[in-house]
Amino acid sequence: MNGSEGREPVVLFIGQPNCGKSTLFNAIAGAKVQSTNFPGSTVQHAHSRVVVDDKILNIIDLPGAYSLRPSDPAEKVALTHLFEESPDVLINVVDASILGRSLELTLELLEMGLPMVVALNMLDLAEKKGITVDPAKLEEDLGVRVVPTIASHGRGIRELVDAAVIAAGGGRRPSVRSRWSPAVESRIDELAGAIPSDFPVIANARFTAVRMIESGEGACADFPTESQPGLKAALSGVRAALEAERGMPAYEVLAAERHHQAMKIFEETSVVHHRSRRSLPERIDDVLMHPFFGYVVLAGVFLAFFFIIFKAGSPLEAFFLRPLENAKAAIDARWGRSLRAFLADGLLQGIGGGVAIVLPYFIPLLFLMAVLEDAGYLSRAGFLLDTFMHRLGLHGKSISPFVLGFGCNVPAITATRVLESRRDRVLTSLLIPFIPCSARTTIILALVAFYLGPLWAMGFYVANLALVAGLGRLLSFFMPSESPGLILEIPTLKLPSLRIIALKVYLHLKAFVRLAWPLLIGGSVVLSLFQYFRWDRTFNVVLAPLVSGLLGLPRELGVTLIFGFLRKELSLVMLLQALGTTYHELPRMITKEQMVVFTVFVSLFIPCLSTFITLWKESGRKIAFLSAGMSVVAALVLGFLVRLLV
Amino acid sequence: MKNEKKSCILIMRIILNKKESRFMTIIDPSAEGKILRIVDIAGGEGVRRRLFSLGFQPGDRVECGPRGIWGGPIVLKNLRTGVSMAVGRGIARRIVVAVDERV
Repeated sequence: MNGSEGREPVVLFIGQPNCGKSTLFNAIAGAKVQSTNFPGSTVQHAHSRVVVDDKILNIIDLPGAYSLRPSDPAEKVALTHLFEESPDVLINVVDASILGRSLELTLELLEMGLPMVVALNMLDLAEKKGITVDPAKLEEDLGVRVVPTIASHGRGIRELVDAAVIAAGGGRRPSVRSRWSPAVESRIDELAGAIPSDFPVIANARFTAVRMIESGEGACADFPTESQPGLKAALSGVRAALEAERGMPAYEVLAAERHHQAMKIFEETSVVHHRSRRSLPERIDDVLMHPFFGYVVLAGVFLAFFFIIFKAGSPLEAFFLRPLENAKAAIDARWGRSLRAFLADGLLQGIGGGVAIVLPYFIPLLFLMAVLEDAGYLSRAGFLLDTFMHRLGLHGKSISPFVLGFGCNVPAITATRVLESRRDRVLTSLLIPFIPCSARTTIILALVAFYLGPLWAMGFYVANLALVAGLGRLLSFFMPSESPGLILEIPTLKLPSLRIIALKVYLHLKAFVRLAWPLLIGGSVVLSLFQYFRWDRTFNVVLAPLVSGLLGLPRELGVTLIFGFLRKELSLVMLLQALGTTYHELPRMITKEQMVVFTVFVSLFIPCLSTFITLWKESGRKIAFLSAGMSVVAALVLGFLVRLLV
Repeated sequence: MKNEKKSCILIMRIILNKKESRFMTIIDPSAEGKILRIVDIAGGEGVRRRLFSLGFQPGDRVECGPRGIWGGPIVLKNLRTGVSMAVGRGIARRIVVAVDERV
């Protein structure tokens, strides 16, 4: 059928963080993965089946890994798949603009001896930096097919797929050619020879030997050497010999040699045109990372972000709401208070809420987030904010999950996998549910900004971030810092690509429509049933001491707060329904102070269901419940305080 | 470990004998904006491995870039590979460099 022993060939994408792997994968697989200009944005693998010339390929995108010696959980995911999926062909994506560094991983992969194709990506960026790479020379040096690509423009994709198909279909395997110095080579051979034939090797004996020498001090975690005293002795002997010869630990001997091999290949295959003047991205960086202007820009970006979203969102919202309110009036006039009217109303509120209230703010938010991500501004923000994050007991690397949290808390919590220590991951995950995600931003903009003015919304945001900071300090008091300190790659600034931004907005919207709309519509319909049969009163009576006693809100809102656990926007959509009013008449039903209290409570109270599940999956049950408990307490206390103050 | 002892001695020499030594760590204010050569990374295995995997190794020429306010991180650009990274002060004080005379 497809000529590969009845099995669909498995193609594995692997490369260092931020090399454009996901963009390339998306170009082949169609939109599936999120990519950003921040190291480590893919933290989970993505599968896709594509049909190329009536051949089915199973392609897998892995999180970026700097090397085959993992130092964070995202890298571990990559390695587990690399070793366990038994790929038919590897596509190693290398960033041509930092070729010397990228090749270190390539050299490691070559030693596995699997069929491999190198995608020489970001050639345009390399040209801008004054680096010209000769793909033919690189191909000759590496001994595997090299395909030049520019993923963001979709260039070279076809050739890459063809090369992968040829390589997978029993094409040439790279000859495992030795690049080590003779002294190191003989030590590797010595150890490879000592590996018994029944030992569970990875790829081949040589590759296994190299990994054993390089694996952590004393702990050969990946290899069952304990049951092989002969092998263990040989390994210690080889390590000791290397150490004695070079005066540095054995793993460093290999790391240093590989570094020089990669640099040598880079120098042989590339021409670097040195410029006397600093390039434009460098000069922009001088401002963006300036000790004073950097923060001015950061504050400007933050302010512009909200004003643009609000200015774009509020007229759209008003525009979409009008037909909705007319339709509601028509239903009420026609069907009165029948079950049919209640159901139709619920349906209308659900659909209308999703379209008219949520989308006008959600789309500009997604667009601007995508621009910042793709340009590479997030790592600059990480650099600028690191010192403040230290006061919270974290460091600048947590900025990426935090910023993602403004979009949605769920991927933000998954993104904590790029952090090296568990303590940092847990602390960041506990703080993320307090970051106002797009659903809560929508509520803040639709209620606070729309009725009280954008400055109130800004104030709300600032107060919310202050709360995150305060909680961070408090939590790190209980979880003393063992943070190893920041080591964060700063990728080259680039002009955001409209194509990638559009793709990203589309992906997010698709996920939103698919996951959130059914909940919004279902929730509204269920609420209208509750109202028709008057079940909502039971909930409201039970919750009354909290809702009207503590928070001073109309007791009808009790039931909407419960539903907010499913999705935060649901509370907003249901607010109108529960009070039996339209958006424009809302100020007649509740006061502005009550709106603020409602927004505070809904924003903080309990992470939404998906966030809760993700927290449970990533950090365990205890952390998920701790987070929920913290949220409920914070929401009640702050809701009450705001009621007293406003 | 022998290697770490050597690094510690190196750092001690820098502290005690600053004027005469060609060596400094990148946390030294006079390193800012200069082109330097990495002499050693005086850290434990974890830090060394992490820096190696980002392509920063002894012998590399680096440019010491902007530094964050209030004890913030320092940007280090590897002129050999073209990679930039930000390192916190805790790690910066372990990166021993010498002024590159070749420039």
